[in-house]
Formats: sequence, C-alpha cells, structure tokens
Amino acid sequence: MSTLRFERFLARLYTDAELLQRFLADPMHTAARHGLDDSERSWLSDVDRAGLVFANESFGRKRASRRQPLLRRFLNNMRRRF
Amino acid sequence: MTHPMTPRAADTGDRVGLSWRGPLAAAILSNLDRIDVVELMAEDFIDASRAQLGSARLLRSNVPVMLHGVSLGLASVGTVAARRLDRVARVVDVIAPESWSEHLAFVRAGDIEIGHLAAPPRTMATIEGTARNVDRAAAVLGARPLLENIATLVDPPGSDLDEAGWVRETLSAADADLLLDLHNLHANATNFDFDPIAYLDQIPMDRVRQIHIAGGRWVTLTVDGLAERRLLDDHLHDVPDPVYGLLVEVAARASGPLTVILERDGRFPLTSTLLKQIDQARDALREGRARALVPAEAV
Repeated sequence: MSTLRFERFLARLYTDAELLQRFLADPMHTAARHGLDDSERSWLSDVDRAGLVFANESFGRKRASRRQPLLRRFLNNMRRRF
Repeated sequence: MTHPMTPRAADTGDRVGLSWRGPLAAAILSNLDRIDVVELMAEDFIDASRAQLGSARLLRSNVPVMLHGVSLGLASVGTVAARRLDRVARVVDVIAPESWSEHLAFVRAGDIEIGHLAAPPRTMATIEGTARNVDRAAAVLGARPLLENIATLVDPPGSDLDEAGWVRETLSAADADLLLDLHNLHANATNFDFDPIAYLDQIPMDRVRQIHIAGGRWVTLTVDGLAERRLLDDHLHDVPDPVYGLLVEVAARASGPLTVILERDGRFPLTSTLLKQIDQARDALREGRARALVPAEAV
C-alpha cells in the first residue's frame, strides 16, 4: 500500500486548512475529487481526524516560523556579497 | 576535566552532548570539558559562508561532531532529488563529521512542501521506498545515514504496520542504524496509547547508535466538538523524567556504545540547567549499564 498520489494527498491535508475542512466534512467525496482510487480511499476509512487537525496546525506554525529565518538568510547573503 | 559528580563512562564508550544552536555557542565552547560531542544541523551549512564552514571545522578539531539533517525526506515512496543529496554531500565533505543522520519522515510530495517532518504511511511500500532512498544517499554521501524515529501528532493514515514493526523492518531493509529519539517515542506512546518498553523490545538494539533526548508540551484543540490534547515534541522544554527512564531501559538493553544528544531549539535555559540535564543523562546511562551487569535471576 501507499502511493505517490496518496502521499501527495496527505501532504495537501497537512498544508491546506480549507481542504482539510472539506475532507473532514466529507472524506470519501473529497478524496475521490482528488483522484484517489477505491483502494486509496479505503485507507482513509478510519482516519485519525483529530490528528489531522493537530498536524495541519503544527505544520502551519513550523512553516510560519521558518519565514523569518529565510529573510534573515537572504539579508546575510546580501551582506556577504557587498 | 570531568565534572566531579558525573564521571564519564569511559569503560562503555557512552557519550553525552548537545545540539549546536547559535545562542548556545558560548555555553558549548566554554564547557567542552562536560560536553563529549556536538551535533550540527546539516541545513545550517548548506548555504554557509567559508567563515561559517571554517568555524565548523574548528569546532570539529576540538570536539567530535555529528551531522543531522531534516530536509531530505527519505521515508517516502518518492525518490529524493539528486540535487538535495549533493548539497548535503558537500557539507559532509567539508565538515567530515563522525556520522550523519536523517529522519524517518517525508517532508514533501511533488511540489508540496510540508515544512516539517511527516510520518509516512507505515507500509511495505514506504519501507521499500526508504531503502531505495537510503541506498541513493549512501552512494552520494559515501556513508549510510543513521535513521531517526519521528514524533507524529497524527496516526499516519494508510498504515498497516505499527510503529515498532515499521521501524524494525525499515532498518533491516535499508541496512541502517538507528538514532533513537526517546522524546519522540515518549510522545507517540502517550498520544497513541502504546507501551514504550514493548516498543524497545521490538526494535533491534544492536542497531541503536545514537539517542536524542528533548522536551515538549501539551497542545489542545476542539475537534468534532470534543476537546483533544496531544503531547507535542517542541524541543523548547526540559527533558521530562519518563525520557530519562527510557534512557535507562535503552542502556540496559544496548550492547554497543551510545551517543546521547540533548536537543534544545529555543526558550534556552541557563547553561547550568542544560549541563544538569547532560549529567542526568550520564546518570541514566550508568544506571542502565549497571542493570545490564546484574544477572537476570537477581533482578
């Protein structure tokens, strides 16, 4: 089990809060709309709903916390050049 | 000179150290008599200047250094891009660490960057994918990585193996050793209600080379009208007692020398507090090693 398409769908659930809400409201329909086949959808039948919400929130905070260091890295690179 | 209360375990070869973070530089450099090893983040050096790389080499000349990565995403059915491996390889070439490690995680899928470590579905497909990626990484970097178990807030969808079974089979398929993160184990055992000691009994102790210890905090959310809470591994808090307890258990079971790294990413405490946690880790190692020497019938 597990496919690139399935990993991609999980990555979207972890990074797209609106998609996650649609998924929690109607998991099978949302998974089908994103191209998951019958087998892949069956892997989501008893999904950890609370865990998906925790993961989406946590990953979102991590991405937000990295934006500032990226800016700092850019400025450091510019300082080294000039 | 070793701290008088906490002699180093020269007979076992066990070592205890700290992960390098900029704000900890002074604390680390002024206490190398009590810090056996230092772990550097690979990603900190991918775009580093010559001066920064020179600093890392200087550090390596004073204390054993290990390299730790977070961005490859080896645990995936997808293939890790060669350019990502090349970037880490350049850092390994320059710093020449004792070892390098990565996580049993996927961090992206196609063009979607998750931004952190996500647990893959625990399946044969991801075991085989991880093994392929480890082979590719070893070919480029010249050494196999130690693989680290990760903390997860979600029970990975699509899994048909439990965590211990998946880790055990992945290490075997990838022919890789384990960096066992004990706070990740503690958090997952707490969040998903399994026995961490039974987990230790299921993984190959002869593959455990390094240990991470850290702290975390409870996070709460309301989902489907119910208040839910999970233990988050945030590296911002002191190491809790259950993690030291697990370290005793690992030291009692492991045959080879262990290198323990205290991870702290922020909310930095006083240096004395960090050193006290390093000392507590040494005490836990000694307690476990002593227990291993006692015949089973005497326990």
